[in-house]
Amino acid sequence: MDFLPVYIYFIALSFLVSIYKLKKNSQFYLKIFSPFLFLTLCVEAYANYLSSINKSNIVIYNFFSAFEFCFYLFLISFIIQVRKIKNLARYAAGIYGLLAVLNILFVQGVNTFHTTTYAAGCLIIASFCVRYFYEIFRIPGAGKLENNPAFWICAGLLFFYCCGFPLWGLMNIWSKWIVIELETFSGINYLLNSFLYLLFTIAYLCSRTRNSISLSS
Amino acid sequence: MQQNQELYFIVIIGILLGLLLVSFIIGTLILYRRRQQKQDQEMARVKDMYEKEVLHSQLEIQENAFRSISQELHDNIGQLLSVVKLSLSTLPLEKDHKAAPLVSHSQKVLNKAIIDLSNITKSLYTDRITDLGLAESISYELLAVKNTGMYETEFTVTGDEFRLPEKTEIFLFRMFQEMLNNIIKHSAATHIMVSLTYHPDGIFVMSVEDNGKGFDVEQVRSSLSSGKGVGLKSMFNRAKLMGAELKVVSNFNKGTRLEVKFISNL
Repeated sequence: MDFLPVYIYFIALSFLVSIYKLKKNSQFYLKIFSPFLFLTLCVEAYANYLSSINKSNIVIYNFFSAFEFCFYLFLISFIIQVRKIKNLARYAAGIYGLLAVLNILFVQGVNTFHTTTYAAGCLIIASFCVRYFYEIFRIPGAGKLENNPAFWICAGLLFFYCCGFPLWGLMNIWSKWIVIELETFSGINYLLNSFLYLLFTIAYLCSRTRNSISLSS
Repeated sequence: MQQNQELYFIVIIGILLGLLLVSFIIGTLILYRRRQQKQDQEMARVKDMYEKEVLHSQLEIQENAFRSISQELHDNIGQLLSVVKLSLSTLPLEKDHKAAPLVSHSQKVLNKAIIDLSNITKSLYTDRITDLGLAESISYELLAVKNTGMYETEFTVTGDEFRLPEKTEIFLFRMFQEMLNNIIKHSAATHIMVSLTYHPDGIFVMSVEDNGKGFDVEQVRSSLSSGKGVGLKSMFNRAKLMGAELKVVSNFNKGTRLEVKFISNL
């Protein structure tokens, strides 16, 4: 029996921690994040199963990564405080989803990884995360930043997509000059994913319920 | 061999990425904390400014109220008492009339009331403080206390007297009145010593000392009770507002010494 890639264990860990730490009065984005982690775990496990029986999983990754971008944009819209940016993130999620599906179905094709819309998605997510960091530095809150789950989530997303942009988004360009083994490529991808889900786990571990935040501040 | 190289490559990339991530998080946390501290300092500064402004307005309102009361007492009650005094003195009474001693007693009481009213009017009237100067106003106030016969008073002025800003003189005089009031009300003292020191470099020191029973300064200052320590807190507020330093030293059964130090820009 083949072992699953290490980052899948990190997804499982973050999902279990999210279940354990989720309270009735937790923020809304944390509540919707937990089922999303479960969905990610299922999709990743199924994609790995397909890979293990030598079947292509590109279709799954194409649609799921497009959905991921839309979900993260929707999530960020709950984290950001400025109403205009919130609305912008929601519109961006809708428009991005539509364009990504069109690209997958009619431009790059379902059996090719949607590098163009993936690169665009990386840049959009990174921009909104940068906007979040700008916001927290402009008006720092009363509590500790390390107790704010949004900080860990946005730090993870910013890091993952900043590194993922050249890796996945520009893959078609750099693969012409650099020859790299598929295992090495997957290894780096696993590392990035592991870091991402580790930060999501920390987000839940460090989070405090809203009552305890207001009491401490 | 090839596999080992790939593994090393992944490990190195992993370490580099990990370091990058950790340094990003630590850097962000440090910057955030600094920004937070800066914002807290800014908030404290604004709050301080706001408190000073509120205090300033309160004191201005108080001074205006004092001026109005003083004016009213002088122009209205004072005039009425004078009319009554005149009427009593013009009563056509023979010395042996049975109402004569009563009228004479009433005249004495009335005279006392007129003098007391005049003293109150003078101490309330702000313009008089600035006209006479701080030393003269304090000396006048002390004389009134001495005249009650209950206290021994001592007043010394050291150095060449110079005028302080108008508002500062009013604040200092009101602080002195509060100190005197506290001595009379709470200290059970018999001796009051007041000294004003004018240093040539613009430093002014006013000290008020008594031989009363003393009190726990910190307890009174930090008292949450609405009525307790109001006078002392008000003195500290006035000192803060005019940029002066107020020191209070008190020993049980040995007395209390209050010292206000103000640096004037001569």
